[in-house]
This record gives sequence, structure tokens and C-alpha cells, in this order.
Amino acid sequence: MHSSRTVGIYLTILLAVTTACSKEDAQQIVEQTANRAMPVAQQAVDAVQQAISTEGTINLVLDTPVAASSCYLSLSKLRPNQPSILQLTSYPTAEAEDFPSVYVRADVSASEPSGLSERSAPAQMFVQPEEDGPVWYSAPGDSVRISVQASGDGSISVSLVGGTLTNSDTGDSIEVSGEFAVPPR
Amino acid sequence: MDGSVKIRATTDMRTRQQLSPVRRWRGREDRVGRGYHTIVSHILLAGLALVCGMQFVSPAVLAGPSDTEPAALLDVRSGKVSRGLLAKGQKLYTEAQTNVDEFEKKLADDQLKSIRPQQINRTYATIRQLGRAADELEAIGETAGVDLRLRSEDLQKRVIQVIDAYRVLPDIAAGLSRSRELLSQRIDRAQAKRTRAEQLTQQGKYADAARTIFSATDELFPMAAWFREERLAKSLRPFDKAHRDAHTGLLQLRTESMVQTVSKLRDRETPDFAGIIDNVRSAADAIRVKGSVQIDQETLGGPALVIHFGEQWKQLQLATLRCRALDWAMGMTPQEVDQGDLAMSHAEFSDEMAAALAVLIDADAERVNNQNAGALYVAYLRSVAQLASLTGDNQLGGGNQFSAILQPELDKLAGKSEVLPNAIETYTNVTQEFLRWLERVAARGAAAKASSCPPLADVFAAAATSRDNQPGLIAAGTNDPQNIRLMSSVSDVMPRLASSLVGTKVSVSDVTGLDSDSGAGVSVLQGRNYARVVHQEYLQGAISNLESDLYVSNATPPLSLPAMIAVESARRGDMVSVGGTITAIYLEPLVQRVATLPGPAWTLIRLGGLTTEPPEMLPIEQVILRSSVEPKWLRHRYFFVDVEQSPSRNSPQFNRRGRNRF
Repeated sequence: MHSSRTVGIYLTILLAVTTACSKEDAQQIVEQTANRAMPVAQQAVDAVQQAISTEGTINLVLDTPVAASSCYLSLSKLRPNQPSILQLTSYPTAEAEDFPSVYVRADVSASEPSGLSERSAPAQMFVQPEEDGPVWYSAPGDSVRISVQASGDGSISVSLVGGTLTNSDTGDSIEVSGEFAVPPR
Repeated sequence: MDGSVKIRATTDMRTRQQLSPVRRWRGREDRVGRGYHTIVSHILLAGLALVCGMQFVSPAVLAGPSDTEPAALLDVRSGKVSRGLLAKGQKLYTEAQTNVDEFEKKLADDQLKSIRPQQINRTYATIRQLGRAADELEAIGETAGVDLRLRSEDLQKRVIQVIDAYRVLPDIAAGLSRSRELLSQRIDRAQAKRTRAEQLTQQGKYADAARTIFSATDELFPMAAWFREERLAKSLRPFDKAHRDAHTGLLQLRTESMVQTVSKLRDRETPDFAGIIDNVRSAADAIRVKGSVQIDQETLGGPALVIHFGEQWKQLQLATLRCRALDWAMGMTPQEVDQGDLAMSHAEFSDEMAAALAVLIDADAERVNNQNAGALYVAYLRSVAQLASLTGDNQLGGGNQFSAILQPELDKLAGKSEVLPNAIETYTNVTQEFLRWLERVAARGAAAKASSCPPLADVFAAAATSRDNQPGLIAAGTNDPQNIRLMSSVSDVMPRLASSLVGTKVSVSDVTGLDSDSGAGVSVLQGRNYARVVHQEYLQGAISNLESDLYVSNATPPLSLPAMIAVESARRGDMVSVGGTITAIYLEPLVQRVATLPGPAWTLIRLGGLTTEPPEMLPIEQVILRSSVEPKWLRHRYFFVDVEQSPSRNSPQFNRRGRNRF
């Protein structure tokens, strides 16, 4: 549980778009740098990062129920014509991590949080119910699927629509289900 | 113990007491030089280093004691003298061992009388010659000499037991009486040789003196072993003294010659710390002006220079290790060596090297324009990442790790681009937490396997500790796994080690992938252990997954240093730890191994650090265990591979995101 003061710090939407560099500048970069650098420059121009931090909730069912009283969302775009990257965490920063701890990363088509609408997007997920306990994670080939929906009031709901997680210590797999709720800012 | 044994033991003991401070001969170069030895030694050492280099990559061809050849002799460091003495020792040992085995078999079969006493005496003389060859090897700093001495002492005990059994057999009293009479006659006849040997010793002609007196003592002392008579022992004491004086003189010559040879090698190997720092600084100045430097007819930009100087860093660190071992060979204690200029200079150099490379990047950042900053940043990221994982946790300058020292300059370089900082921030945002979770999963996976794969150093220490009156390599009760010294011969210890270790599950830490097509890696030297694992065949799927997780492709490189380090270290095959089964073990002498470390052996130690040595150990007595480990699981910092699971789980077609869209 995070204090409202902490939550307040993260409530701001971060929109970091480079405006000082035109596409013409970027083209110059592409032409004048080595092959490897071309996507770097292009990616730099289009990189967008947005974050919503709020006191949401996470309710999951693994072998036992896992509930977190915070949910932080960020939406980033590395390159044009590629999906955006949605991240959900139960904590605002690694330094402020609490347990149970949850992390989800998924490719989504929306560029803005308000435009989020996915019926079944593959996602990678990590859940650690206790600090010194095992991590349930998406093993290679076992991604979970999520549905994401932004509402008109600015709230965002995320549902796990299927998938299994693997236990880091035993290698056992388990079906996972649950909901992420991000209330309006 | 009979009189002859006492004489033999006394001779050896006094000789060694006089020899023990080998280092006192260092620097006394007013004695007769043996220039050709130096040249030949250098040539042979270079050849040996080359061979060792190949062996480092492909240890299947290594000589020396192993689980399949437990009685093989330890390798020697260098040169014609060492090789010659080792060959001589091998021949004498084989002959004596074969004969004593036969004597003991006859004894067990109650057929001892079928052996003529003269045969036993000749074997006893062979054992004495073996002991002297061992002393000579020890005098030139070879651990193989310590091992051969222990073997000769063991053989001597066994042959004395045979004699003791023989001399109480019924019906040999008359023969013994004749032998006693014969011995008295030969002692009288040998007095002239003794006198001559004493004269030669006084003239400093130790080799001639030794030849003269040894021919007498090798005849007389075995004969005397059959009798327990003070009168005989007393009459042999002058021979013992003449023998000891000549032998000691000969050993001193050996030591002086070795010190002369090794000193020159040591001088040549001494790392030019200041020189490489100056070169980096000069390169930085040139980079600041024109962006490249001409080295060996090649034009190198800043990132290539980081690789270039990184290679020199590795080799300088190796040279430092070699020099320490050469100092040990000349009799210095680790404390003396590590309080000397070499270790101090190395520590300062490592700090300065990191700082100088930072200056190099800073110079390039000053020079580069907005358009070229992106390409340069990625190229530097890759170069720095390749070195960063090799420095491990070593703190270089101001208590910071290598990557932390260079990060500000990389940030400055990125800042020259108007667009790159934003791209890096976004890239970091979508990879940083992911990496943290991957690291956590990998650590948990390895921890779950830890109990079934204890650290190799612990398993080795348990197997090597003396017990049940059987000397091992670690004194009972000392709990000092770093101090692995020969207290019993290799041929005695090795079978016990092999039965305890081969087939046992262990884990090894800090594995670096070798720069070759071997598909293998080598763990850092921990205490007196290191291991080789062939593991890269199991990594490809996990590497592909990691690259995909970090949005890396040929066209899209990692944009943060942690991500680049993750990818580069995985591609090289660097593992935090590896668990598996020991399939083979090899025992190597510490001094010889370290003194001849070949180029690829930079993997044995992280850049910027040196091995920690017990301050008062005698390096010549120390050995290293090298193991081959067949991996069962592999822990990279960001993934864990259980090789016993279906390989398909780690195969590239199973991309974690289910589709590769980046």
C-alpha cells in the first residue's frame, strides 16, 4: 500500500516527445551514420513514453489468491509502425517495491492510454507473492493473454484471459486468472 | 628404524634446511652464468606456453596427473634442465616402483628368497637417485620435485620394510655375515673417493664432487640398510657429510642458475603499466582532434580502441599473474610478492585504466557531432559491455564498478544527439524492470538447485582434507581450502580424489566463454579450483529469447549499457554459475600453471583483480585442481537453463512473447 503523497508524485502523465528534432534531421542522421545506427536514430525520433500512476488494484488467482492494492501503468512506443509497450506494476519504482509484487508487459496497438482496447494480447508476467518466495513467471512459449479496455471516464481495466505461469523454484506450471483495475486519473 | 634410514633421512633433512631459503640466491649474479640455459629456457618456455594455450582450450590433451592417469608426474615450468630432470625422475620412479611392487608381491607370496639381495640394493640405490633428482627439481622451484621426493620417501619406506622382512628369514645369517664383511671392505675402499669428493667440494666443483661421492654412497648405504649397527653408522657418517656437502653445493648451483634464468624472464614479463596508460591518453588526445588513431597500419576509432586496449589490459593482467608466479618460483612468499611494487602497480593501473578509457570516450563525445553521435554511442556501448562483464564486481577507482565509471561519459556522448537521450530513456523504461525480473527468476532457479550442487571448492576441500591418518592436500582441522599443499604424493592422493570427485554434482561460479569455437567456458580461479564446461550448445534458445525480450535484432541494438552487457555476456557464454557433474579432474602445480598461463587464460581472473594468496604459504608445495564439468543447469545473470529439461523449452522458436514483432 502506498501513501497518497507517493501516489500523487506519480499521478502526472509523462509525455516525453522529442520536439526539437525534425524528421529531416533524423534523415540526416540515418544517412550519415553506420547501418547499425539507423534504427537508433529512427527509434529516437519516435520514442514516446507515457505513464499513469494510480492507486489501482490487482487481484490474481494462482495456487492461492494474490492481491495488491496498487497498480501502475505505463505505455511506451519505441518505433513507429510497431506496437506500443504496456507495462503494469504493483509498485511505482523498484526501490519502493512491496510484496506481493506483480509485473506485466504486453504489446498493444494503442498509442494513448485512452485508446487502449485489446481483446487478447500476449503478455509476459511475473508474480512474486512473498519477498523470499518463488516467482511465478511466463516461461518461454507460455505467455499469458490479456484483454485491455479503457473507459470513457479514464479508467482502464485489464483481465487475464488465459495462460499459465511457471514456478521459478519447482518448474511447476499453473493456470492464472485475475483482474487489474486502473481508476480514472 | 635402522641406521641406514637414519643416515638417509639426516642427509635429506640437512640438505633441505640449507636449501629452504631459495630466495637468498636471488640477485647473486656474480656466479658463473649459464647463458645458453637462459636462451634454451626461454625458447622452451615459449613453446610450453604455446602448448599450454592449446591445452587451455582443449584440455583433453593435457599431460599430468588426472583421474585416468593418477600416477602421472606433475608438469614442470620450463627449460631443458627441468625437462631433463623430470624425464630422469620419471625413469627412476618407474623402475623403482616396478621393482618394489614385485618385491612386495614376493613378500606376500612368501617367496622373498627368490629375490637376490643385490636386486633390492640396486633398487634402493635407484630410490636414492630418485630422491636426488627430486631435490634438484625442488631447488629450481618445481613442484614436481616435491611430489617426486614424497614418492621416493614412500618407496624408501617400502623397500626398508622388504629388507626388514628379508633379514629375519631363516637360513640367511651366514649370508648377512658375509655381506657385513664385504661392506666393511667397501667402506675402506671408498675412503679415497670420499677424500677426493671433499676436495672437489672445497674447490666448488660440486658436480664432480657429487658424481664421485654418489657412486660410493649409492653402494654403501643400501648395503648398510641390512644391519642395525652403530659401528657401521659411525663409519658411514663421514660419507654422509661428504654426500650432503656435495649435494647441497650442486643444488645451490641449480638454484642460482634457475634464479638467473627466471629473473631475466621476470624482467621481460614485467608489465608496462605506465606505458599502456600513456598510450590510452595519447589515443584520447588524437581522438579529440581527428576521431581515429593509426595502430599497426590500422585506423581505429574510439570504440575499436576500447577493444584494443581491453585486449592489452587482459594480457597485462596475465603478465602480472605470471610475474607473481615467477617470484614465487624464486622463493619469495606471497606476502613478499604482494607487498611489492608489482601488486601495488597493478592495483593503481586497474583504476587508472578505467579512468583513462573514460577520458577516451569523453574525448570522442567532445568531438562528435549530432549526426554521428547515435552510431558512435551504440559502438561504444558494445565495446564497453564486452569489458564490463569481465571486470565482474571489482571496484576500480573510487569504489565504483567499471560500468559505473564509464556511464557518465556514455551519457555525455548520447547527449550530443538531440534525439538519443529520449530513445534511451524509453528503451530503459521498457527493459529495466523486465531485466530485474529475469534476474530474479534466474537466481531463484539456481538457488533451487544449489543444495544438489554444492560449490566445487567445498566439495574439493572435503575430499582433499587429511583423514584417518591419510595425508591429503589440506591439513585436518585447518579448514583452509586455499592452502592446498602436497603432504602426500600425487600418486597417493589422486586415486582418493578421483573416487570422491568424479561423478559428483557441483557448481562453479563466474564462467567466461572462451574466445574459440570450443563451445566451452572456464570458471574463474577460486581458491585452488577452476573448471571447464562445454555449455554453449545449450544457450542459443535462451540467448534468442533474451534478445527478443530486449527488442534486439541485427538492425536494432540494445540502447542501454545493462541491456548491452546482458546480450554481449550471453553471446560470449558468460555464466554466473553452472551446476553439473564432474567428469574428469587434473592436478596442476600452482607455480608452473600460473607462470605459464597462455593468452586465452585471462578468463581465470576478473579484470582489475588478483587472486588472494595465503601470505605465508610455500607456493612450491601448492597445487590446483582443474575439473571438467558436464553441465546440468546454467545460470546467466538474466536466464536459467535446465539442460535436463526438454531442449525445446530453450529453443529459439519458443519466443517468450509468442511472436517476434521487433
